Amino acid sequence: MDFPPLAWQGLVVLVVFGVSLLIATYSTYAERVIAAFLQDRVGPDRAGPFGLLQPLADAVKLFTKEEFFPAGANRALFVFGPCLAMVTALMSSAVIPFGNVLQFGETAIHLQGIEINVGMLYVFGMVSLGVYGIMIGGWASNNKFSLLGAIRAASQNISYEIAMGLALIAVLMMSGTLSLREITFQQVSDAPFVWQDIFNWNVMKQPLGFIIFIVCAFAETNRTPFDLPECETELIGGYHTEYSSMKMGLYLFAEYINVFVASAVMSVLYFGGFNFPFQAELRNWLVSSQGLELVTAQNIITILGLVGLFAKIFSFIFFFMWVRWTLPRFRYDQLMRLGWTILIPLAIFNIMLTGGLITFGVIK
Amino acid sequence: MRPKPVGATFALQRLLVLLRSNLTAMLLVLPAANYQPSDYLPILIQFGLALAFVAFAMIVSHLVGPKRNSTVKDASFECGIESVGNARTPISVKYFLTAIVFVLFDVEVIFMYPWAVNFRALGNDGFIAMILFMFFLLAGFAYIIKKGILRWNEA
Amino acid sequence: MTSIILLSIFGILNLFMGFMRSNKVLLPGAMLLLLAVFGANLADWNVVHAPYFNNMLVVDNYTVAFTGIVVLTTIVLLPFSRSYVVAGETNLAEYYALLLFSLVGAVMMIGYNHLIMLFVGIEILSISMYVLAGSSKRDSRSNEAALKYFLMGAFATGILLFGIALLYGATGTFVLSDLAGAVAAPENASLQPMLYIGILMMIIGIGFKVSAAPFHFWTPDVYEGTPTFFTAFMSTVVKTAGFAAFLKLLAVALPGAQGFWLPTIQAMCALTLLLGNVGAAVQTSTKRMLAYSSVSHAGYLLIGLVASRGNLTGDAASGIFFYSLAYSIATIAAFGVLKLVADHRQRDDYAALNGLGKTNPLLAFSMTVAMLSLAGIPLTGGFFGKFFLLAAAAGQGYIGLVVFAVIMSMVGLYYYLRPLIAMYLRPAEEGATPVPVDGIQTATLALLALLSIVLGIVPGFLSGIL
Repeated sequence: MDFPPLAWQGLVVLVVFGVSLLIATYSTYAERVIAAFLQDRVGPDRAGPFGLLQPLADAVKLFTKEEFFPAGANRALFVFGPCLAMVTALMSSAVIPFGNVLQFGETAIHLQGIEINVGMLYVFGMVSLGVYGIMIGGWASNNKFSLLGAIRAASQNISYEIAMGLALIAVLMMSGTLSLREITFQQVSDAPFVWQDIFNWNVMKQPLGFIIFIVCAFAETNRTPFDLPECETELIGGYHTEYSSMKMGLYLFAEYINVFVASAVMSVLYFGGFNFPFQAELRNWLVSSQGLELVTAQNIITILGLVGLFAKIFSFIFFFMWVRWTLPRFRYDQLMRLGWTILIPLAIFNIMLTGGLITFGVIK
Repeated sequence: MRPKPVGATFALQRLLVLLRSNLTAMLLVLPAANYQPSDYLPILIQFGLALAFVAFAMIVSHLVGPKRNSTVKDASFECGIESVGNARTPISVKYFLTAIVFVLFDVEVIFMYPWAVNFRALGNDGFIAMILFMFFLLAGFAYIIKKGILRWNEA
Repeated sequence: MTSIILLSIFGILNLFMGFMRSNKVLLPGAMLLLLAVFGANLADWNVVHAPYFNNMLVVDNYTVAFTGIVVLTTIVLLPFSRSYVVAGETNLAEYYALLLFSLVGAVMMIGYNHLIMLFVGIEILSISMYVLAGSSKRDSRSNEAALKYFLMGAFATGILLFGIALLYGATGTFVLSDLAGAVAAPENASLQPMLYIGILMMIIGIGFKVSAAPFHFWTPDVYEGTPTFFTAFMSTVVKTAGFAAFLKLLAVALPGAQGFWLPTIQAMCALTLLLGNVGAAVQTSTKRMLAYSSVSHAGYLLIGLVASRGNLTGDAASGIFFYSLAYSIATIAAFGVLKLVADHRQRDDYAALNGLGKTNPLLAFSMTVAMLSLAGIPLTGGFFGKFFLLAAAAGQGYIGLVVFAVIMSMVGLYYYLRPLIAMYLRPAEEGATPVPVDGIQTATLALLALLSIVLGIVPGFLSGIL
């Protein structure tokens, strides 16, 4: 069995693709369960054990609903909007390094869809394209509420994209690379103290940057408290007021995939990616005390790292949902003011601070 | 005779340092540094998959769902009352201003990416140059804020 | 370089000065800032600077001299914005800031040593001017002027850029001195057509900016619609900077292609003189007449380009410098008086000037000096400007062109004397009140008239400096 590398790579891409879909699907379930837990309710419990088949039931429901086109809608764009939102969302997970290398004899499998040296820019580009899906869908609906939602989405996304980019620049100044994989490796520590494992994560060096980034991530994914584009109390359903059936499903799905990708990016950029504490000691222990080969031990570490990264991602997704059921929504002018007058100046201050600290040798 | 270790802790630390540097060396098995256009092929695969999924969803839901049209049902939703006029009306110019300012700032941010990646190589001069650049950026920024681009309650 | 830095910083400073509660301080503030720039610029005279930014920008005496003209022009122009202060114009600080920013563009156009720098300079200058042309937001003529200027200007800039690209394609360089070598000794003869088309396109692009015929057609409409204060800026600073850039391009980069561009420029020159002067003669509005007159002066300046024959120093270059200075001074005075009168009497045809000699002797006097200087009457700066240029051209043997220019300036006499007739020989309307003029405007007008006369009596101190 001698797979050419590209076939492996394709397989990894396929798995990454499937996993993001799966996570998005179960995010809908998780959202309800967490909402029920936070509001002291029971939540979905009918479809399957603990309601675990609920997402499946939802999918069947969405597929069998009537496909609705409002009068005066631009039909081509009406279909194109949700498709674009979904495609861009699905594509952004390609560059995220979910794990290190798995070594089987001669075959090395990188647990990453694709390693490119501009990985971060790729994610950014895809995420920015996502807003077009919302814009196009909202405009094509020929509904005033949809249009308002679309316009809001556009100006909200572009406003927070600047602060997000500026927060990211501080990380790039420390890392000197745009490759997510290399940024992950830089968060491995050489120091002898175990707690340095965690202290070497970027979040310890960039606390302010991380806070800015996570706030912007909420806004970019249109999650509460920044869900003004679909704010149901003012705009009925916002940009997807007129959508039904799977087109509506694609919009909802795209949002959850974006949440997943945002969580993954934050885990990689700020929380060490697939690195976890004591990994060196564990490997050493496996080799010296358990008599495993170095390669096998490394593979075990890699798998544990994969699990660790997903643990981090799930915590972030939980955090997204926790916030949704905790904080009320912003008013529109408050949202813009937060983005422009607080986050952007803070992010620039953060860049200056980072630059100064690096120049004067405080951080490496 | 091997020299007696100064203390157990010290020995452990030495060991850990040794192991970790090994580990780091091993972890840094990176793909070749020079990237080929073909390295981007998996992106195409992913694009194909995404497209296939979306097309599948669209076609299946189109075939499966019922279709019943009527004039009233097709009217765009305006809270139950009859819909009035075209929805594609002019909207507040503030959104437009935001978009313009965004273009400006996004270009500046994109300008900063290569600088940030090469921050160490550029040294102090690069840092000073960027401080100046940021100063001008912020001057313009303060100007538009003071001019009231964010005062949404005014016309 | 100091002047570019100072202008940029002062421009931003001006923007923020606009947030002060009173805008009374803006005008003196802007004038002081510009005086500082003028001083800093003069300090660079005869100082040798290494080229800046990888040979993109040079500061030599040529740069300092023309930068001096544009800055001085702006300083003496500013007092005529008094009416904005009085009317409580809310965007006054922005106007001043845009003027300063466009001066940055002008200085870059003058000091460029790299075609990209020329392009950037032209853009900085032009974009500010597009905005200022439309600054009178409620006036549909101003809106029309801004849109026309923007569309045509963008088109011309595109052509200029094509020209730059073709020139680069044919020679492989953007730097002026390298271009000169590559044009004089082409490595690849098959690229010659590309080179010539590139040169032609650049001439068209810059010719548009300096409103040389046949690319002058936008000038009258735009000048007429634009608020007079900014028209004065357009017809002086933009033209001076444009000609400085034009001369530098032809003299430094393209002397090797003289055989190609000399006939082109000669033809443009004759056409510009003809269309400018004849066009001005048939106008009824003073402002439109001044617009056509600015076209005709572009024609006289083109004679300087012809006479320069690839020299950045010497008679022709000095002549262009002197002519630009005299022309700028006279034009500012003419537009200044016209603005004061038009603001008061609400009209800008010749009849608006009726009886000004009685009601406002000083305004009438400065207008007279300005008109005589523009017409090229002896004892004014304009005379020596024309004299130097025509002498340089005659010295190079362009007798036909010189004779044609002299005939055309006879035509010029006709329309430059019409305001004088209106001011001194026609009675004012019933109940016409004197045009209000404040102290600083009086002083400026007196200074302008004095400068014109000084330049006309003792031209020697500025004539051969380049």
